[in-house]
Amino acid sequence: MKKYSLYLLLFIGIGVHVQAQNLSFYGFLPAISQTGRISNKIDYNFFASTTIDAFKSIQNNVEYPAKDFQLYIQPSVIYKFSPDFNVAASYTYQRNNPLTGDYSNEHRLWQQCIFSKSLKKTRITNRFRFEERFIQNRETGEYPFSTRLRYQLGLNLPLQGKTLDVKEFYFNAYNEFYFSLTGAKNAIYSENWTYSGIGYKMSNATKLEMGYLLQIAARDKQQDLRFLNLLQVSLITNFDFKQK
Amino acid sequence: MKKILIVIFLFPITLFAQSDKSISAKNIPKNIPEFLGKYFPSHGKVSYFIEQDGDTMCYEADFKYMKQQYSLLFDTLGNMIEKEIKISFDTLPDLIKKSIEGKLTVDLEKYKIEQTQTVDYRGKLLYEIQVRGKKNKEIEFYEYYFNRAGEFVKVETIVLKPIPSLY
Repeated sequence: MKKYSLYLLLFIGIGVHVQAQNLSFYGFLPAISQTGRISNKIDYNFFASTTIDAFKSIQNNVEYPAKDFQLYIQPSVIYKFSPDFNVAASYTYQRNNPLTGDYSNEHRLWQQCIFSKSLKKTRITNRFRFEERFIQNRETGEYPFSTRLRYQLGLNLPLQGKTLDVKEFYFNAYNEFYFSLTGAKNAIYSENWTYSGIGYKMSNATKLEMGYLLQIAARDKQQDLRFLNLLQVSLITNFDFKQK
Repeated sequence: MKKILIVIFLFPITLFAQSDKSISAKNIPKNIPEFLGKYFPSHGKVSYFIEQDGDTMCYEADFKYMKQQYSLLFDTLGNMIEKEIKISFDTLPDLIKKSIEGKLTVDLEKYKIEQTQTVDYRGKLLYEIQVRGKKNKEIEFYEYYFNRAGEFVKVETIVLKPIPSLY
């Protein structure tokens, strides 16, 4: 109970801190996620996305032109221990401001585990991810090391029956807490992502999902916040090369 | 011939597995709720589904009764054709349990029974046992089928699907 109360306080804390030099942006996040079965125990996933600030804005007397905020490329390997538990590892490349001169690269390794539990039609997922980050400092040319822990609580449920069948809709939502542990950081509880979307299973291998993603991040040491309001559109494919 | 009979016998288990949609109680044949009221008095809340595979259609009613999870299939006229009940393995008759455990011990180095259910299709009873088992140093998940006498019918390896999670 104590733990949940702390989460609530942190969440409210971010919510009420809106009087300071906060920034809000609105845009799109197109993404592709391609999963394939290598064996009954091992899958691979290739995920790529880009985060686009779609509108020019003037905030706190500063002009922010529309631009691409981030390019994200994430191949990973997943080991499935059971229908409800898997672990994964990845090397991820991230480039911030990829199309402008103030870009910076990040190389990231991460390891994660997912526990899921089905409650009637609903599947609840708990995802823990530990990241080792090497974020480029353009002034020094160095890649200082930092670590981060992420916890995602997700919910997925078919909307038209017990199982998700072809040509049916489903609901997907999650909240993800980001905790910067070591290295340079603006805050320990440094980011929070909240997502809610509706998906459609187009075929046995393909789903299309659209939803609202709110990314809140502490953007400086004073813990001013950046709100990214995004329309996320994801094309999700799942190829089973072992299937006969 | 035996193999053909087994296939025919097991066919109903997967017959209606193609697609299901939630359906309101007012859109199902009236004799289904009447049947439930008569044979499962004071049952829990019922979820109804309509299941379709090609031209074949049936209704499914899921509910709790006497602390057990029931799933009944009815044809379009409201006649029950299949009954699935999730049960505890320990509640099976001793002879059946011994027979099942004997087969699992032969097949697997180590095992744990994850779920047990009875499938009664038009009076033909099957035990469906989900097992986590170790064979050749590999842990896999299996679905074993045994008949009313506890004799082995069939085993399938469960394909592990990705857990839905946006990366």
